[in-house]
Amino acid sequence: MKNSEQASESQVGAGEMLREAREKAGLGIAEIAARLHINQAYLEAIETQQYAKIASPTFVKGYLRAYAKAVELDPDAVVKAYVRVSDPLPEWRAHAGIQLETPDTRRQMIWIAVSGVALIVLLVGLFWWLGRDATPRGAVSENEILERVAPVAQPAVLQAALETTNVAMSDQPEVDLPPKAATTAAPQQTAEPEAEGPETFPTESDSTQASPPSQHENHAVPQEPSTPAPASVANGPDAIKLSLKADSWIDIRDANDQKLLHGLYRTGATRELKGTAPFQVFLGNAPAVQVEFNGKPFDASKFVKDNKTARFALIRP
Amino acid sequence: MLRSLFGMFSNDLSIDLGTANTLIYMRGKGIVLDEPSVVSIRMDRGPGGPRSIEAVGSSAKQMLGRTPENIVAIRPLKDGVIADFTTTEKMLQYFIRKVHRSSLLRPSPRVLVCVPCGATQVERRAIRESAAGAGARKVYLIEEPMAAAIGAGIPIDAAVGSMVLDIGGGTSEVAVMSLNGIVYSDSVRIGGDRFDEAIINYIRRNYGILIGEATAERIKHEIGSAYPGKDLLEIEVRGRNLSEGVPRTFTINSNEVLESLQESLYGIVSAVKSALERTPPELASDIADRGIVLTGGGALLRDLDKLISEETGIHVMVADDPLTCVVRGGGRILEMIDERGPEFLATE
Repeated sequence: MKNSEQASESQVGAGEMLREAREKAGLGIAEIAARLHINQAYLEAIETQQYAKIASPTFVKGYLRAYAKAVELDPDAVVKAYVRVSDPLPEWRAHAGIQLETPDTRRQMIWIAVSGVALIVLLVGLFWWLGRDATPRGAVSENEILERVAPVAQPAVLQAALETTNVAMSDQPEVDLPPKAATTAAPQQTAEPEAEGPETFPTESDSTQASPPSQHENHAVPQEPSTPAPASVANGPDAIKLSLKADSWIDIRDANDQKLLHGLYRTGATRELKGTAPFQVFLGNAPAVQVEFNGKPFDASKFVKDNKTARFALIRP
Repeated sequence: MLRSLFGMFSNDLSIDLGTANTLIYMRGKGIVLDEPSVVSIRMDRGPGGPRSIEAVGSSAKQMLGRTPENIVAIRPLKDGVIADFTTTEKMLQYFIRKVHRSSLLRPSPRVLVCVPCGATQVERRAIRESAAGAGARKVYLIEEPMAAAIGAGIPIDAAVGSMVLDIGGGTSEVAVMSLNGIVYSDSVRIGGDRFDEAIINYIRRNYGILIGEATAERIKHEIGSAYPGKDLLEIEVRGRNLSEGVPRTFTINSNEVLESLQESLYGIVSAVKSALERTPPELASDIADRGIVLTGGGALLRDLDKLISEETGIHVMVADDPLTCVVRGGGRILEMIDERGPEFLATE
């Protein structure tokens, strides 16, 4: 009986339910308002179901529960009846101020920002890719500059260099050493940007005095047949002599970018080349290769990188 | 910008790091975790030796008061603030991991943690660092009553005063808010824990029987009330008789529980009264017109609303689902941070 009564009650609004119960109990609205400490206007609004007069659904539910308890109704049933009629989601804004942007424009702005960032990332990537290509090109142009500078060498010095080469070939370096030191020290200075002082000249000439005999012992060792012979040995005024203490890859090109030496050479091998300076030299195992340029030992140790390779140009004065 | 892109894939968390329970709300998923803030630690080689976490959450709570010598079950938060920094961090870490699996596409979440408004700068920093240490990408702190009001659905953005009383496990916070700001707030270190302690003390004094915390909590939940009701409720409990030293069963009724809670309840009522005294008159009249909203687990104590209402002469109502008000409010604030930026937060 009671259940069916409640079911029929739940069909009617919460306010009506409460009013009926209050009248049945013979209570006045002012009496209940005083007992519950609720503003009488709010209770009247509830009874007439004008919930908009109350600030928030939270308060409406609170009043409904209290009212239901006061007139001995089930608070949950009353609240349920209210929720069925209207339960707007509680509104809460971060700012009570005026909203200048509509959410749509905000969303658009977010998309614009996202696509802008994507574009920037793409451009940066592109520049990086191009920049990576450009670096080796820059290195090549340096070599080109060296090549362009080299042919300006004076013919007189060139003649002297030729003489010294001949002297070196004839295994008598002691005779002409002082002039040779003077001539060969100069090209090294131009080849190496970090020019060394003139006081180092004597030590270099000392080393030339000491080293040639040993080199000539090496020279007697027969060359291995497996080493690839240079495709065409260009004839020229300048001479390079290489002797290997260990296996090394060697690549030497002359002024016309012609390959004088290209391939892997074995321990103990020696090579003599003639061509036109400047020479572009690449040594795969630089510490193991002794280089003589126009009869004068060339110190390649400054060009040796961490991986033992060395790349340098040999330029006559 | 990249962060906000990452944010699309990660789920933000709102954490109510309470003395009694920790709740986590995940945006778009609702409340994903509700566990007691208890950690049990295994110390096999004595107190100075290596420590390892044995259990966290409800499984650890079952161990409270029932552990052997090499395991201790502790509550790392006391009075709403961190009492044991490392353990809190471990607990948070466990909870966050449980609800948020980090991966390449789902980086660590942004976390909003609710702090008691009475928390000092040092305590706030401890909470912030615990959350950061537990793997949060960004930590926001918000004062609990603010989150509670938003979670309860009170329109605090209007230029109208609202009062919220949030009774947690360790603290009770009373705050008056208007225009999204806190006008007055106070925090008293009285909460559910204090109620339990009061019940334990009362039973020891009057019955000479010692009961545990879990039993006291059960008494409070089942027959605890704040205002003398019409019907008398009774509960049968077991405890250790102090003089005989053996377990005894006895019965306690709701009036006795009410008597034991008097002192703690008076503390909360006087906090509300002094808050009303110090509230600017315009806001006080708004509060008198609309009423006070109760949130937090303490709001579930029977007739607490009636007690405060009788004491202050203002209507008091309990919010819907008072236990989760704070964490739901935190979740709503996280949404607002996304829409508006974090500037409107009272505590950064």
